Amino acid sequence: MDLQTEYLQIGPAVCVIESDPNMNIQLDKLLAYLDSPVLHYLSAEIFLAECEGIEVGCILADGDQLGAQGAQFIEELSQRGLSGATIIIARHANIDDAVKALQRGVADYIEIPQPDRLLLAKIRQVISRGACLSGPRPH
Amino acid sequence: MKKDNPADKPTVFIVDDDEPVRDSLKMLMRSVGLSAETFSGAAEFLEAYDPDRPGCLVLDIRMPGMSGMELQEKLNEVHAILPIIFITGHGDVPMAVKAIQYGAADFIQKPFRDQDLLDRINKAIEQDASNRAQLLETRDIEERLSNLTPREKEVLELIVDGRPNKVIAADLEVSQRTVEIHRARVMDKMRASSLAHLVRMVMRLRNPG
Repeated sequence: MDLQTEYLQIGPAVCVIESDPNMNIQLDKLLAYLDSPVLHYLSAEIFLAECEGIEVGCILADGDQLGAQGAQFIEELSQRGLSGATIIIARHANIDDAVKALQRGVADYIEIPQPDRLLLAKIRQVISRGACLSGPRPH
Repeated sequence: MKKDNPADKPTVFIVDDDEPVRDSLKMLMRSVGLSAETFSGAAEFLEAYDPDRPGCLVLDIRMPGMSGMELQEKLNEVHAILPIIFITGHGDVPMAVKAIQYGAADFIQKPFRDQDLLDRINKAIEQDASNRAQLLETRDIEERLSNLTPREKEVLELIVDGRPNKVIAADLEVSQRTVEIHRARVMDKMRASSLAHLVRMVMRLRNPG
């Protein structure tokens, strides 16, 4: 068994979609409090290309980075049955983006920065709803 | 089956404590041929609320007395399906998120363009019509189901689970011929055009929505 496969045996993964190294460091510190494997993806495209077959507990995606592609990304997630496990975090949060994301079925949309405790609670809440097995790319 | 009456036409219910706002929203609705009713507060709306009237609810968040969010909670308690569009001048992201998580159809910030609000209202009214049609269909299936005898219901469950007549006959300790008769009655009473149709109807009741 290779290392990644072994790592994923721990339980459903938290998938972080974030390209900013500083944000990744901060999120890693936070996610170390959870008993979940953490997988990093630098972009939504990379995640969508690689996520098939992964047991997903929660997806944390940077809303600022998604920008205008956010809507299409959430649509793809929902076709794979993953939107309900998704939390969008955004520094430049705004009401319209939040409403659109939730209408398309994401679990939460959070303006950051937030206290670690609060962000952890929201992530735990999503994980506790059960894992989603990431389906194949829809045609 | 209910007859067509004026109450079946969608209505935009407007709840806002600010009278000029209420009046201008009502004018806006009328200008595009939508019928609208206004209420000066959440309690007043709740008093008049009729679950059978379709349309949508345009709801101010901040009001003296019962707030818009509190009204949403009350409507959730009675399993209301009327879509809610929140309007606010002082909204923030967490408030919008909470409103949608609790089932609101939409959340719009003042100032907005008239057309933007109208688009959202039309979308909500469409959604409401489709929800109500589904609900009606579900009730219709339930009614057909209630006409089955206990034995026919047993046979129905087994058919839906994919058991062939031979197995059902053995399970219920009756002849295959008897199962065939029950099966035909079930198909007839459920007005099922095919086995697939029958299964679809039963699944509809098992996983509503």
